Amino acid sequence: MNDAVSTRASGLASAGWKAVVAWRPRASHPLTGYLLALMILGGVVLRIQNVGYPFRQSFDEPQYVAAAHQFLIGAPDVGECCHPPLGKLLIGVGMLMVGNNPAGWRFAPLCLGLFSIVLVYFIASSLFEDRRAGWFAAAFMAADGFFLTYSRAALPDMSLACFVLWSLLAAITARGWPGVLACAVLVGLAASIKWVGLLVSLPACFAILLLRRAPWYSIVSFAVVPFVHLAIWMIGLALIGHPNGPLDVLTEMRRRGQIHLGFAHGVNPLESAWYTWLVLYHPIVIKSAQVGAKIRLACSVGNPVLWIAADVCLVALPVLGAAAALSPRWRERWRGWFDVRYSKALAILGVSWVSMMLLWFTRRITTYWYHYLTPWGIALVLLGGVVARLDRRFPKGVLSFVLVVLAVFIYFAPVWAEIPLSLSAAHRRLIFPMWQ
Amino acid sequence: MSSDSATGGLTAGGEGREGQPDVPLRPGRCNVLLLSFLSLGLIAFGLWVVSAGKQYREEYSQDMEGWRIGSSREVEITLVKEDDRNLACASDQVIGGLRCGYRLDQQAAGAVSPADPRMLQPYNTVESQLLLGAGLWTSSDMKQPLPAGRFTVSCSYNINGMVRAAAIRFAPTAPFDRIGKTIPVGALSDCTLRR
Repeated sequence: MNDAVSTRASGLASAGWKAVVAWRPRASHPLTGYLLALMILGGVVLRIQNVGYPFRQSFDEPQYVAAAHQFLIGAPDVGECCHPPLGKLLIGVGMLMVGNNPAGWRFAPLCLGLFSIVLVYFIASSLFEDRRAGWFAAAFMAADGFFLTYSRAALPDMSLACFVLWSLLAAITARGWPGVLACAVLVGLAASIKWVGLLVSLPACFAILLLRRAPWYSIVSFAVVPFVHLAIWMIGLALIGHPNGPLDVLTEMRRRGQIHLGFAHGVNPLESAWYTWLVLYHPIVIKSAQVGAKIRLACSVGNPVLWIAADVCLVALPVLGAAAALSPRWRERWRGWFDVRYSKALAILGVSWVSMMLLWFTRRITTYWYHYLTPWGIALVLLGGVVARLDRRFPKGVLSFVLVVLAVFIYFAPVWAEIPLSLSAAHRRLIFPMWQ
Repeated sequence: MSSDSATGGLTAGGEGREGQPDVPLRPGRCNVLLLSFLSLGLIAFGLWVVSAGKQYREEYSQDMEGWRIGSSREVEITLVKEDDRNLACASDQVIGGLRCGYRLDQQAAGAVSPADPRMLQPYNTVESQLLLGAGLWTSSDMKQPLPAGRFTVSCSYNINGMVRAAAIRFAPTAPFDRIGKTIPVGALSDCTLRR
């Protein structure tokens, strides 16, 4: 009997180990795979460690935590002025699970921040049909300071980015009506965190139509988006004891929309135009604390190496695409580099990035650094796909690139993850005044 | 949903360099969207276990390890200058002559003044430990002009006892919140402002 149990246990252990080996990050150069695993592990550990620090609320956290608390106790939502309820409800769920304490406030964004690493793996793997693209994208997101800092703050931006990425995954993997319906529900949820989330319906429909894995007419399912949004509002208003009929929801939405559109440009010093995001001009320090002679900082500046590489992709690929569209010679070259499947993946990611930037292009409302979080997640998936393709041709070059990304990640980690360091050490990392 | 994502998309990748075909690594049915839901559930559960375990350790080990009655330790506390009036506690216990400014029924227990070296107030250390301390505002450093923003003071904390039935507040107009755990009570002395 004991022999049978031990044989079974060793069989299971062996199967588990084989699964780990089969699924581990791989690249053309073996060392690259190990470095990717290290980046993912480091990113996860840095996100989780001391997430409850500081024990006071920073930046916009008081608004969202107060609003989440009001939803939980059934008091009128006066904590936060302008957004739909889901982002605050998610923070409230974390507070229900872990308590009304710093770890509880940041629980939901942390879960969704870690989940986003999994999501970009799935998106890049599915879209490029190449698991190494998934590993590159996941490692890049893990090693990026923008996503790292927002995973550790009780703010709705991480939740929004996560639901937008989740909607994209659903659109890419949809094979029929149920998948498209699931995608539409996720779009409705994204729009219920911040209204800009509604824009993900554009790339989602584009992906469904371009990939042709689901019938084109299944996009009728997107008719459920307003109903999902309405349901979230009705739940939210009911929780705080407001009238919650459809007309009441419309009145509340209009009121909040007016407040949002009423903010004047140039008043808040943290405001930044969309084109400055591409050059890391004005990231925001979302937490800071003095600990004796040292300081602990959470600056949302991204990993500069990833930023430059992603910018190159965002500029070069459309230029090459336009050249291929206009010139037969460049078309031949494009076909030599990218097959149809890869070209579709690039098109979907390009449309996704532009769609999530549309509202910011208009400059209708005041814009801030954190509005770029969602498009930046899409840019990282794009970068993962491009680097995975380059890895087949230039394994040593990609290994060098990954090494540099890892080195910058290690160097910047203290100012992303609130690890105590001296003021001079912090200034050495945040070299530009606008980063401090 | 099961008819959806029949082949899922997680198919290729392989080890191949350029020119080598991608080998499907998982040709079976793999619903990526369901897998993503499962991943989120696992992450949430894992994090919840980690935070619950951490909270449990904090609640039951803080008072036992190092924080012993009669011992002294160095503590670092972050403050703003208005905290002399912002912070207050309510308890009926008097420990070593130290008492909160309010009784548990939230009535003032005599004159409430931060200048009273026996009046307890709640503080959080930079390591997230909650304590009740008295005498911080009577230290000479604290009588100097204080910084406008948040600052850190380093004090010697002499632990006189433990209290369980207490309530605290961090703003003069906020309601008192009951503390659900035992916390140390003691005198803060030799407080120096970290510059």
